[in-house]
Amino acid sequence: MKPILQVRNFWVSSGNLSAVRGVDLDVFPGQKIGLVGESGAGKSMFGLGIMDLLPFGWDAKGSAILGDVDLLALSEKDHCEIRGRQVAMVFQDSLSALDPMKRIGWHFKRIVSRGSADRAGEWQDIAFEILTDLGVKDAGVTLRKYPHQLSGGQRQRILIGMAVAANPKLIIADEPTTSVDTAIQRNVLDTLTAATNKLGASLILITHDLALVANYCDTLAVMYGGHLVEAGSTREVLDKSRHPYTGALINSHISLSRVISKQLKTLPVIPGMMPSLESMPTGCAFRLRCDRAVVACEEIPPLLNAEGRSLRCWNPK
Amino acid sequence: MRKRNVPVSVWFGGSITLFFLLCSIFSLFWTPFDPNFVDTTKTSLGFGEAGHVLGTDIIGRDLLSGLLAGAKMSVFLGCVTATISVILGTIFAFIAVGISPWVDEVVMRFLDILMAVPGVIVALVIATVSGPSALSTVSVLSVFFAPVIARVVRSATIPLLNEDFVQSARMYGRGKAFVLFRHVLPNILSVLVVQFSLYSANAVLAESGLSYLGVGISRPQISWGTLLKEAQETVGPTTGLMLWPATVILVFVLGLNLLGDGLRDVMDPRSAGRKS
Amino acid sequence: MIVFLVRRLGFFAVSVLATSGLIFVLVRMIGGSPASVLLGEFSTPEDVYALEEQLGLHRPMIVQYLSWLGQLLRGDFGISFYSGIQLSTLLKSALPVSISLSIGALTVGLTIGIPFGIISALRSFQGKGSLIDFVSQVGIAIPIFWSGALLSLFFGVSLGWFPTGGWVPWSDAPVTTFRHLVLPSVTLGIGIGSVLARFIRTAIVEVMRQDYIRTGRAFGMSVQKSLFVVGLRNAALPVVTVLGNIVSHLVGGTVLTETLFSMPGLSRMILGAVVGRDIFVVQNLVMILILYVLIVNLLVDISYYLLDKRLRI
Repeated sequence: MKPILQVRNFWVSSGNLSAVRGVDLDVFPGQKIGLVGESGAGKSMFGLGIMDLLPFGWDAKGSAILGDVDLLALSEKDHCEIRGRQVAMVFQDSLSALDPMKRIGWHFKRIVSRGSADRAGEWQDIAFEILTDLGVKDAGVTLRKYPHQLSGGQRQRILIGMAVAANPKLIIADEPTTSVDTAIQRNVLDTLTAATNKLGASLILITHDLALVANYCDTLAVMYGGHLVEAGSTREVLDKSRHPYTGALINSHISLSRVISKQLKTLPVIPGMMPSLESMPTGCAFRLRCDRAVVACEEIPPLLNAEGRSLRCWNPK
Repeated sequence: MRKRNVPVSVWFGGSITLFFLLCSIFSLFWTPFDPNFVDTTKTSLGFGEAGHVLGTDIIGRDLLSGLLAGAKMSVFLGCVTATISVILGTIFAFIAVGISPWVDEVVMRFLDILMAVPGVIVALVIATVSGPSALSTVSVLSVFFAPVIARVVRSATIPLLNEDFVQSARMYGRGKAFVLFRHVLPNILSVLVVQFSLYSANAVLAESGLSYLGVGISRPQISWGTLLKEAQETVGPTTGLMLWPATVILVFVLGLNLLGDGLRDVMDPRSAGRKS
Repeated sequence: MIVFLVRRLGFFAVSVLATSGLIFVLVRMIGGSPASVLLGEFSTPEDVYALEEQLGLHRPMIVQYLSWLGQLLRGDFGISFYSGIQLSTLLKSALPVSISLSIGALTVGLTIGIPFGIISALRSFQGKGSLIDFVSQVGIAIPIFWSGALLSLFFGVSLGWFPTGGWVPWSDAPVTTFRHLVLPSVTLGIGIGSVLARFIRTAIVEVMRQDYIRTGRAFGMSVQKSLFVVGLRNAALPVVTVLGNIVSHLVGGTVLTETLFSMPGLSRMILGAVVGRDIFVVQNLVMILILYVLIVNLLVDISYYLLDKRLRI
């Protein structure tokens, strides 16, 4: 099977600072990849970089081939053709992502009627159907409302609906549940994955919540300090993680229940904090917090891809 | 360590401002002629004639000396007005923010009303009853500039009030006034400096306007505005007599604006509207 | 909606009372009795007292204040102490001049300001520096007398295209009137246009930074289209708020411009009264101007409320 998206040595930088440093990734049809990392690890920038929606002053380098098209070589005009057609994005903050002066229906109308006159006539029915499928009650009424009149959960579903309406081959969801109540986070993700499956599309789920990835994604990719440190099938990586950071991350996630059941006295903590872009150490980004660090780690380890696993470490487990 | 590029405008504006300041101080000691000296034998002279570098007006008073003397007055008044406005504005802002949300609402509304009224107009009223003077000009202008400054100071202060160092001071039992003056004030000093610079410019413009209309300064005190007025009344607006003071005002105001804007860009790069 | 209207009108009423109160107090408290101001330096105390009696200045303050407000509401603006002419009569010839100038200046200002603002915003978003931006910054600082004098000199005297002063009523010779309007309107319009351009640019840049612009782009909108379809419409909102400010500025600027170009408008009336110490004329004219500004601000606030969907819950 040929991947729909092939990313090699992807960098996102602004001057001397780099938020993404050399990421390799393959996305196959129907695959659901969970891109995990702490805040500032570069995962959002990666998603924005692929879509060429980086903030002013930031640029992407490397190679990102969507089907047959080299994304980084495209003009703005050609990018517009791809965005909202082959690739769609679901943003984190649903309130700021929607135009406060326009009704929800307007947003859908614009997406549905793009380039297709007959769809334009039926946009209302299409939008109604999509929203109802996503579990929005009274979709008709909702279409006539303004963003600030809806709850966070409803708005998130609308963002997902907009991505669905674009009929894309790839959906990039950037922390879609972060600004949503914990109680409905699962719900939103059920909706998202169901919609993705129905479309036959692929999903890149960007999140800091490992548990979500464990439940919803078949592939897990971990980022730290701009580097892709480990990737592979979710099952495999969770059972037998090889990068020290991945191990520590998994540890801190599953420990809560063990503390409660008194198997552990304290929550294991990774000492220190992820360095900021300006104070990134030379070599491996995790070096200063790693208990397996060796002298070699002062050089950036190469990203090795083999048998569906990726790993960037001199001294893995 | 973040590198800050000091923009060109600061150097440019700063040098202009400095130049004018020096001229004003210089003129305290010496001017080519006595600016008020009437010499009916040498009226309406042109460029460089009879030792008058810029010529004379219709009753023989030297223009260059007039400009220098005017610089003294305009610069001085500009600074005094700006200082008072900044102080008043800061006090208003602190009162609004420091007492209670209710007081904040009331004070801000009051300032809204003040802002709606064009200060020039009220200056006219005062000029009618008490005769035009430097004092009336300064007071009216200060009162009408203060609300906008108060707004700026207020927006700068509010985020600071949530900062840790303020919270800890309050926890130690320090009163609100103490916190405001001792902790907040030093941090908003840069904002105040920018406002001072910008409003000095506004004050000079306003004072010139008022004197031009006849409700500001008048002879024997000289400001650039009075020179403008005399030009308008005697030879009409299209001569050098008017253009010289007008140009001088323009350059000085521009310099101050550039300086103020430049300083503002240095302190808050976001407001420059470019790279973030 | 109703709540908002009531509050805003309430604020309007308070503003009117506050400003009229201020003017009232200023007129009576500063510099001695208004009667002595009117009579001048060489009046005797008996003359002053007699005049005060005649003008009703011995009535209680509240009575004077209310009766003054009543007069204004009825359109009775009083009489000039020196000419004895009704103010309303004088206004009839002066108002058309000032209004024509205001409209002319606004036209020029909008024509220059809006395109300049948009272009400069577009260029800023594309990362290029902007000459237009610098020009508008300069434009704000230019004093009216400078640009006016220069324009007069060049277009009026050297080229002789337009008259540099004076006025002809519309009813007499419309074309000539128009020619008289050109230089003053352009002079005043430049200042307004610069302020507008600067503000529009800031508003647009601010809007373009918002996340929903990014969403639009994520679904295929180009940068240009984003700016013109979404950006402008959303930036119009903050620009509306600055209109009130501009009107205020316009009033002050009109006074200067009319003086510069010797136009027989409202400002000449006021200045004449100021110089002649015709205190009540000044009082009433100033109050009219203030009312005008307050009403414009009221209208601006109401339109802002109607336009901003977020305020409707």
